[in-house]
Amino acid sequence: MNAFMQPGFWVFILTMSGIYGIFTLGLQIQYGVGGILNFGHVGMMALSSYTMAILIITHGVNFWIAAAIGVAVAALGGAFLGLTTLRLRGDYFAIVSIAFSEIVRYVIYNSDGLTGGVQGSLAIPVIGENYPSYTDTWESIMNRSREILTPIFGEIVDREFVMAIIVWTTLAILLLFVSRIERTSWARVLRATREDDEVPAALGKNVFRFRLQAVIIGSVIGGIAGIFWGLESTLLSPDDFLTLVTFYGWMILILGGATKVKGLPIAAIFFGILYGGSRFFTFFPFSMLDASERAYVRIMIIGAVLIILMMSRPQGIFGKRQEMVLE
Amino acid sequence: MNNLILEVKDVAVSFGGVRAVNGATLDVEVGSVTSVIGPNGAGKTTLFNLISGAIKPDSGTILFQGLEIQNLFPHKIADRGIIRTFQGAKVIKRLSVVDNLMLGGQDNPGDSLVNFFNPKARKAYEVQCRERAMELLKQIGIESLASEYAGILSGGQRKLLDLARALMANPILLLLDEPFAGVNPALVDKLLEVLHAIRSKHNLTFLLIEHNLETVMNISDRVIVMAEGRVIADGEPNSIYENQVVIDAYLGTRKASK
Repeated sequence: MNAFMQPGFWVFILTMSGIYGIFTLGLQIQYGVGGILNFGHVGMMALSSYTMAILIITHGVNFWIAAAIGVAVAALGGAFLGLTTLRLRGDYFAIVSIAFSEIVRYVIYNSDGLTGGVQGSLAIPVIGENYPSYTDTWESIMNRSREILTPIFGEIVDREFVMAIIVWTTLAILLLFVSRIERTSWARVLRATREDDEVPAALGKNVFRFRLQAVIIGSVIGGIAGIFWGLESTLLSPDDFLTLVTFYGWMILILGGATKVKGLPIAAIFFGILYGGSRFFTFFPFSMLDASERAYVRIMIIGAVLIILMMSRPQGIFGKRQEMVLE
Repeated sequence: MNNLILEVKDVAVSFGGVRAVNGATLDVEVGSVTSVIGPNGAGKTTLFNLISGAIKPDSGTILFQGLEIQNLFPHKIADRGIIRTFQGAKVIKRLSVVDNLMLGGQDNPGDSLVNFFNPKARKAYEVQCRERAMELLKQIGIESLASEYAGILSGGQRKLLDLARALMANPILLLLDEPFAGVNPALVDKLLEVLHAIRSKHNLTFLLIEHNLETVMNISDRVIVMAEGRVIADGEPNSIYENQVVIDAYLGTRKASK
């Protein structure tokens, strides 16, 4: 139980929550507004983080440029997914989108030369040389930020603390941006397409364009989450990008209320506590399980929370019930 | 000639083995009210779907203001000025009533993401669009429900909303799919009143589908009768009564019932 008392643990939870929050925001604009069931969202995160890592390690590209290209590749991934499959109806798109993210993961898994394969992001240590890393520039930025922040916050400021602040600032900016977008008439058309294709089309709206744009915006946001994911973990592995991660995002989305962004940060923190905290479930009845079994308990709890939510509060913490259930 | 706004020439489409529209030819004059009537399965709604681009014909051409439109996407056809309503009235249930109307606004700068960075233009349009929507809501008598979800509206109110939304889109040719079906007599009067008001105010052309000749007798300049995917009669409402082909195909029971 000790870890619960340490501020470092909570800061770590905060950082993870923030990254998952950004990730989920991409789903929110796609599903909450556009009704697009994207189960392959984690693929965008994989694309951006791997692109960034490869560009820095193999090609020596500047960190900022590499990160920007990483996000752009995620956007292209979204455009590709949208252009090829968005004409399919809701549930069919969902199936194909899972396939998309799995294809991305398997390509990463099997392209040893490009991605380092199972070993992780090109991090094959070469004897006599330094461990190749893509986070050097980022770490120096973090160190400088630490020097600035320490006089303000005191001793608590460590690497994780700076990371949490940067991640949550980014999330706040993106939340503001998305909530603004969701008040435009663009979002109104997108909301209409969530229910019906024919009506907006008969009023002169190109339904496909609106959907495609929503998928691309969501992918860019997912790509930004991927950059932070890569920087936080400092070592990438294809197993970071299992479809399960997409469903974590879905849990946060539904918990916070899919149709509104304001519940999202709270849901993300709730998820973070459940995700990071469940390893400390050492009390009865969890004490009957060993450590590796307890890791599955967390997935079971997340599943149970989702089921209970769908049954009793489909609109999430803050959503409007009518906007979810009105027929 | 061209006081013809719409010309449908020898259009055919089949679904599997069923020829839903089988070589239909008809035209609509500018500023007229033309009604298409016919029994169930005559191909009336399919004809509407063809004109509005929801389905593509296997053969034949459709001209709107002299230009071919049969291969255009539905939203492109709507851009040209053909706006339709739906059989049974379609509303976006999880949008508010006023948002449903504002959806009909044309050339909205806010629909383009580029204009996200041009809030002035977006907001100016929204204010104007909302004003117009409220005006229309007042006209159809449901302005008090403006901010409610459209899903709570009754069937009749949905019909009115569907019609008003079509008007928001500044139509040149308005396609109404069974606007009076399942509507109580009092509301039929209301709908007719709204239609008359629009007609005298804007120079609109109407093409409407109805089941019964009686319903459209008084409001139509011209009646087109369809059966089995073809046009079988075409003329002034009164002449349709006397048309032997129509009586045989469709109104056969009329004399007997009198």
